[in-house]
Amino acid sequence: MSAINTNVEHFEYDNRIVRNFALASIIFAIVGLLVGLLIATQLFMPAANMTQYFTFGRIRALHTNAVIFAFVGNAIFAGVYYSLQRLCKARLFSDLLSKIHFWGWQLIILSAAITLPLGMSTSKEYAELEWPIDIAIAVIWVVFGINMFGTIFKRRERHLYVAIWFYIATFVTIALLHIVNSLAIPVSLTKSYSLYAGVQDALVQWWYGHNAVAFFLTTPFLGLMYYFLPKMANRPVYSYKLSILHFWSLIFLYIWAGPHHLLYTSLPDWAQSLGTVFSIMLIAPSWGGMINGLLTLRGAWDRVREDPRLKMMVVGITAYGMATFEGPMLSLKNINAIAHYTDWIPAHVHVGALGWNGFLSFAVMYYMIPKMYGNEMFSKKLMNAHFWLGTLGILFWAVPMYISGFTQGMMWKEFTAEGNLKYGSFLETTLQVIPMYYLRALGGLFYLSGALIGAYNIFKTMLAGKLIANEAAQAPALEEVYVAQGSDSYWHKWVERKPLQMLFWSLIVVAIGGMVEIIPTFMVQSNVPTIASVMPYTPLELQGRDLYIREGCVSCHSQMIRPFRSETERYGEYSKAGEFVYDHPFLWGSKRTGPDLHREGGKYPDSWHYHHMRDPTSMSPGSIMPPYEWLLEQKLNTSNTKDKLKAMKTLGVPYDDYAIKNADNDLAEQAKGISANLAKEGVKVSSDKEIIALIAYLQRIGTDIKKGQ
Amino acid sequence: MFTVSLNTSDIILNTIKTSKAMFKQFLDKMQGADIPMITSLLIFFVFFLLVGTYLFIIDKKHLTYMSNLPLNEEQTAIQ
Repeated sequence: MSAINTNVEHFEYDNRIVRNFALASIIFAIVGLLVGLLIATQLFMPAANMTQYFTFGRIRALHTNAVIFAFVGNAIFAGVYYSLQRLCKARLFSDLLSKIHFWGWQLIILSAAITLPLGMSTSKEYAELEWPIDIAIAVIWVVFGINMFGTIFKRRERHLYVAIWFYIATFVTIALLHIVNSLAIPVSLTKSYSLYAGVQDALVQWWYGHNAVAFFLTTPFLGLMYYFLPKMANRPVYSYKLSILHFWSLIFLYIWAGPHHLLYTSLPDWAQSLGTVFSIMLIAPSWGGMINGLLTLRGAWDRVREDPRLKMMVVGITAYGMATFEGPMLSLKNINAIAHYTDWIPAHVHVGALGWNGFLSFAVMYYMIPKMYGNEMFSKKLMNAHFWLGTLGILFWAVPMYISGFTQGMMWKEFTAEGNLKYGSFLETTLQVIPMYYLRALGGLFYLSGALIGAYNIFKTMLAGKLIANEAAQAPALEEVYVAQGSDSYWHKWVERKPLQMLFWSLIVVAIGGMVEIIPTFMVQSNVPTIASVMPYTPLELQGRDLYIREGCVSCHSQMIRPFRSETERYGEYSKAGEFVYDHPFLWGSKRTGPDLHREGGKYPDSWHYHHMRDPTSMSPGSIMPPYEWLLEQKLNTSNTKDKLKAMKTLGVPYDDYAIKNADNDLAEQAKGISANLAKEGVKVSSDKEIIALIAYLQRIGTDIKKGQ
Repeated sequence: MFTVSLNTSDIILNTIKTSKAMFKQFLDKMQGADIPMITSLLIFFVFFLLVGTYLFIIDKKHLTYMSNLPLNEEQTAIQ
């Protein structure tokens, strides 16, 4: 394309850093899947909730974080660093930055593995880590960005291949999402309160949550697909034009679709509608990517039969197509009304996670490892075994969960001829789907076995060869002054050859959607109508709420009653936006493994909660909720009560100086009241125990609105 | 045959009526959010036109060159 340059330069690709990330990815895949299997087991065998550190509520976040950020995250960095060097014809910008990036990321994972079981959590899904770790993530992410851009700047190939566009969009958007969603006021080193409250917090969280899926689990993998699929099939991508079109449309549209996670909630109607419309439009660019991937294999399908890596790519890309069709369908209000809060949602997520992310990660590693070790994979048979076990795993995971999701959705809404709920007891609907939970765990076991075989195969390959840590390469240097040649037009120069321009425009394109949705929700008062009777939590209730967050109750219980007869009949008055104005963070939840708790306050006597937390089956025979006996024994830490109130005051919660000064007395007094009340009901417990604070909070939830009536 | 065509026209008329009602309900429900709605549609439309135009004027030879980039890298290997 450009004039031939005789000034050939010699350089070396850094394979060691790629190998390190790949190794970390494989190890954490096993860990993440094992924790997944454990929490799947806990859902049909409550005895598997061992000690307070390994209850479902706490380690569900450990599973999601381990899989998303440790397994998939490390696989992304391995694949990006491998392909970026080769597409730029340059060694990575700085070996030191590569090392800081690698060890920094592993330290973040380690701190997540320690803090999450300890109950240090912000409770915001996929952003559970507390503020010091959030800062570390931001720093390491910037290190990754500098290393990537540094490599791009010293490249020996003038044009940026489309894979690099996806990497740039990933970098810039994740930085934006992570920073905006993680803004919080620290109370201590291990505790903070979200800057936003209620509706706003929900909107920001799902703007983040949805786009973390888009820009951590989708765009980097599309980039990897555009590099590794042509390499594996030895043919160029089907349509480069389509790749440009779907790149820009995808990054533009994705960012608007977040509110589809909040349909029928207290989020303003217009924001919900925007979320739905843009979700439907998203089918086009998502399928553009899938079609481009699958059609790259046109005329090479015979190779798919022979090559297990290509099989994994095909199933992975098909899973991507299925999940991205299903996503927009779930964004339709009528489907969402049935599917939301049910097992349908984890089924949808796992088709994407196990199929698209899992299979692509392993396929990419099966490609890179032998290349970097100068040999072939140890065993093709084992690769095939991994592929089939993985595929079976996906099916056994997803199909039972679809059945379970439909069953729950229907049972929750069924009325008798007399107009009563047919399944008035929530537990009845849970017990109905337990057999599906057995099958789901079996699916997880299949998938884990496949991954173990994969790990063994990769380690054997590594042992049989020797790492080419610095792979020699050569390429002509770029001319200092570039003269556009023939086909190279002004337009290409404008964006495609200028990485910073690309960064800037990607940022603008992704920022538009977020701004249009988020800013009016903050600015327009009428979006959150205030309710006069809604008051801030008392110090004891606030402490109880933090215990609710620590134990991860939000993983299984929503606090958002949608305006359906089936829900108001079961739970009570539907939830209003104005009820959540002091909720930093919001605790609406996204899944009902247990019933909604927004009108729990005053529903049962204090002693019911005491017995229920000690042994849930004593109050609800057959319940799958784990017992929380340590709440009955542990003393409530009240040393930080004033700091918590002060932090809340900074966020705009109207605690006056008197309330803060008297916080400890107020807390003690309310606790004594509850303790006395429990004594009357035949339960002896001192007022300084954690259970007292939790009961105070549970008895408060959703009651303010009743005071007004 | 006649009955069939009458039914078809009924269906069409009904569909138009329902869509009108749906659209009206949608507009009523927006509660002053018409500006973000219309702005977003316009932004997307203009953006899509720009990308479309870019694709229309893009050079074919350049596309071939770009799509072969991952496969060209063997040239950089030192045997």
